[in-house]
Amino acid sequence: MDKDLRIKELERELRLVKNKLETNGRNQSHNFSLPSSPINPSHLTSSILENIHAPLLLLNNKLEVVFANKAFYENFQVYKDETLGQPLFEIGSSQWDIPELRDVLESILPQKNKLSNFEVFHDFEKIGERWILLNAREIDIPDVSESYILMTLEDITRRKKAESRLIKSEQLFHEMFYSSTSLLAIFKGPEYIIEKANDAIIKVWGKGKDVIGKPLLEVLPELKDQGFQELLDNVFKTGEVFHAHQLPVDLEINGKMETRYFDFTYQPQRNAKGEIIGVADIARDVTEEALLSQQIQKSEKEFRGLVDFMPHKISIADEDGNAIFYNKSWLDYTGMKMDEIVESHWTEVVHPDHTEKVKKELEECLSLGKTLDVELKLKDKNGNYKWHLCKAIALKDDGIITSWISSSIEIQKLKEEEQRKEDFLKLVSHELKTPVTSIKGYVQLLQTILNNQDNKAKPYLNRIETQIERLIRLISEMLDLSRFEQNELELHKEKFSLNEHVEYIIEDITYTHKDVQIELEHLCECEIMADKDRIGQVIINFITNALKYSPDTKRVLVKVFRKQDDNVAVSVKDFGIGIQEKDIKRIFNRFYRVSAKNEETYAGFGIGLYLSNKIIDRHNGKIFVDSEPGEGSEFTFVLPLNQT
Amino acid sequence: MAKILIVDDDQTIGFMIKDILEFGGHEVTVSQQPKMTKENIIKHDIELVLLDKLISGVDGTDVCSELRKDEEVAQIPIIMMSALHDVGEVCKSAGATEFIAKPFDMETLIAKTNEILEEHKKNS
Repeated sequence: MDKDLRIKELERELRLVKNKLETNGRNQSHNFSLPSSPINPSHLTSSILENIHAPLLLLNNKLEVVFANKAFYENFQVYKDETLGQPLFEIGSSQWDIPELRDVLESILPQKNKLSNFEVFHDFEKIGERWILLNAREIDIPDVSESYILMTLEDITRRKKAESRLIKSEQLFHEMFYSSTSLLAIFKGPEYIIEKANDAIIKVWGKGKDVIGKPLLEVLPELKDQGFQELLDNVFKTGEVFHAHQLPVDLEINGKMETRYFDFTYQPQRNAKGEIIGVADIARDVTEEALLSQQIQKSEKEFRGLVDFMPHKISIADEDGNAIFYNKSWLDYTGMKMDEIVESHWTEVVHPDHTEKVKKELEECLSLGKTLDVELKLKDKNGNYKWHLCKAIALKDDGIITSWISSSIEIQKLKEEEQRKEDFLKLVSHELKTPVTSIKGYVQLLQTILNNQDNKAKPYLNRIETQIERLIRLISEMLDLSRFEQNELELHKEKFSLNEHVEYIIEDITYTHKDVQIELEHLCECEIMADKDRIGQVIINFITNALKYSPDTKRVLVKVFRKQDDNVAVSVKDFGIGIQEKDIKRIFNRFYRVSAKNEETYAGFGIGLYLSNKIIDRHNGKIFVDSEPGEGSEFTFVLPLNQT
Repeated sequence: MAKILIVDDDQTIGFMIKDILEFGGHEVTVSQQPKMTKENIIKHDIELVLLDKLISGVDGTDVCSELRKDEEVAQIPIIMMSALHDVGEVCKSAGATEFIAKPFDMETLIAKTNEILEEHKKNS
C-alpha cells in the first residue's frame, strides 16, 4: 500500500515536471517569472525525487531512461551521462540486461499495466550479487501522449540473506529433530498438546502417526497412572528440569502392554517473555541396556551366591595377583572380614614352612601366566594349620591376563588318611618280612641239610623258595611305594658296569625261569654311577613284565646301547600281548594293571612300573614305551652318563 | 667256631638265625633285651654280635654306638640287621661292622659272619 501511494505521488510530481518543461519550451522567448508561491513546485518535485531514498527510474515506451534519481546512481554505481537517454538494458555495460526484467518490461507490464513486489536476483558488474525488489507501473501523464514506466528498485539483499539464513537454520533444526534417533517431542500448554514429535518417539509410543495436535495423556493414557501427569505439571509450574535414568515405563505399543526403559529429560519451553509455554521431552530408549544391566546384576548375584555357597575357598585377584575378593568360606575359615583379608598378605595365612615354596610357584605363575597347583597348610581362625590343595588359573582376554581365580580345598583329612595308609603299609610290610625272613631261613637251612642226600622233598623246597622270593619282592614293592610317597627313599649310588649287572640279573632270572629265552646284546660297554640295587629292580621289573605279558612266546630281547653320546639305555623287548594306546599313558600310574581280552588281570600289585618310573626319574633318566597290541612291547630306560 | 650273640625282639627270627649259625658250627645266644647287650657279651664271652635295628622301641644304632664307646666291648664286631634296605649307611656310621638286610640268604649270613670273624681274629 505504501508503495502504491508513493508511486501515485511520484506520478503527480512527474506530471508537474513535464508541464513545467513544456511550458518552458513554449515560452522560450519570454522571461521566466518566479511564481508567487515562496516555493517553486517543480523544484520541489525534482528535489524530492532526487532525495527519495529508494532508487527510482522513469522509462519511456522504448524503455530508455528518462529519469534516474540520486539513489539509483549511488546504489548501482553508474553515471548520469551513461544512463540518461540510454535504453535500460544497455546502461552500465548492459548490467541491467536481466532476462526476468526484460520479460516483465517487454511483455507482462504492457498487458498488466502494473507490477508489484517483483524480486530479481542479479550479479551486477560493480556491486556484485544483489536481490532487488521491483515495483513498476505504467503511468499516463496528462497531455502527454507517450506513456512512461515508473520503477522503484529496492535493494533487499540483506533481508533476503537473513531470510535465507533463517530458512537454513529452520531446515537444519527440522532435519535434526526429525531424523534424530533420540526421542524428541514438544508439548504445548498445560494440556501438553503434542506440537512436534519425531519419528523415533512416535514409533516408541506405538500409537500411529496421527498424534500431532492431541494432548499427550490422551494419546498415552497409560502414563496417567505412572505419575507422568505430576512430573509434567511440576516442570510446567516450577520450570525445574526433570531427569530420569533407566526409568521403567509401561507403554501400550501396538495394542500390547510392554515395559520399556528410558533415560529422559523434561525441559520447560519458554516464550520470549520467559513464560513457560510447554515442555520438551528429550528421551532415549535404553531398554536393551537396562535389561542387560539387570541380567548382569542377576548373574553377579547368582555368582556371589554360588561362590559363597561353595565349601571351596574361592578368591579373585587382579592381573598382578592382588586379591580383591574372597568368598564366605575364606572369611569363615580365617575369621577375618573382607577388608581385613583383602588388606592382609598371603604369608599371614600360609604356613612358614611353605612360604618359600609358594613364593617361588607364585612368581613363576604370575610371570608366565601358568596355572598354580600347590599343596600347602593354611592357618584357620584358631591359629591351626590345615592342609589345602590350592589352584589358581589366569583369566585372559586376547592373551593378556586380566585376573586370577583361585580355589583352595581343605585336604587335611585326606592327608591324615594318606599318612595313616602309608604308616600302615610300612607296618604291614615290616611285619610280613619277619615271618618271611624266618621261612626263607629255614627253607634254606633244609635245602642245605638235604643238599647231599637224594631226597624227593628237594624240588618242593625249591618251589617254596621261589614263591618266598616272589612274596619278598611284593613286600619290598609295597614298602618302596610308601617310601616314595613320603620321599623317604635314599639312593646309594656307586660306580658299576651296567653290562655286567644286566648279565647277572638275566642269569639269575634264567636260573629260576627255566622255560624262558632271554637274548642279551651289548652294543656298548658302559660304567654308570647309580644305585645298583634300584637299577637292578627296574631291569628285573622290565624283564618279569615282558615274561608275564608274553603267555605264548617266552622270548625276550635285552639290549644295552648308547641312545646319545651322553647317555646309556637298556631296552627290553617282548613279543607278547602288547599294550593298547589308551593304556600306555596309564601303565605308570600306581595300582594300574592291564587287563587281557577276557578281562583277566595279571598277578601283581600294579606298582612295578610306577616304582621303576620313580627310580629312573630319581636318576634323572627317562622311560620310553613302544608297543603294538598283539605284536609286543619294548620298554627302554635311558640314564645320563654324567651322574654324580 | 665262635660265640655269637643275637639281639632281636622277634623270637622267631632270633631262633631261626640261631639255628642257621649253629648249623654253621657256632655257639649262639639269643637275647631280646638290647639294654643287656654289654652284660651278655661279657657273661657269654661273645666274639660277634648280630643286632637288629629296631628292638622293642629301642634303636639298635644307639645300642651300637654305646657299645663302641665302651672300652670293654668296643672291639667286638657288630653286624646290624633291618627289614629296611636303605638304612645300611646309618648303621655303619653308628659303628656297625656290617649290615644285612632282611630277609637274607642263609649263605650270605654264614659267609659274612665267618668273614668278619676271620678278619677280627687277624687284627687282634
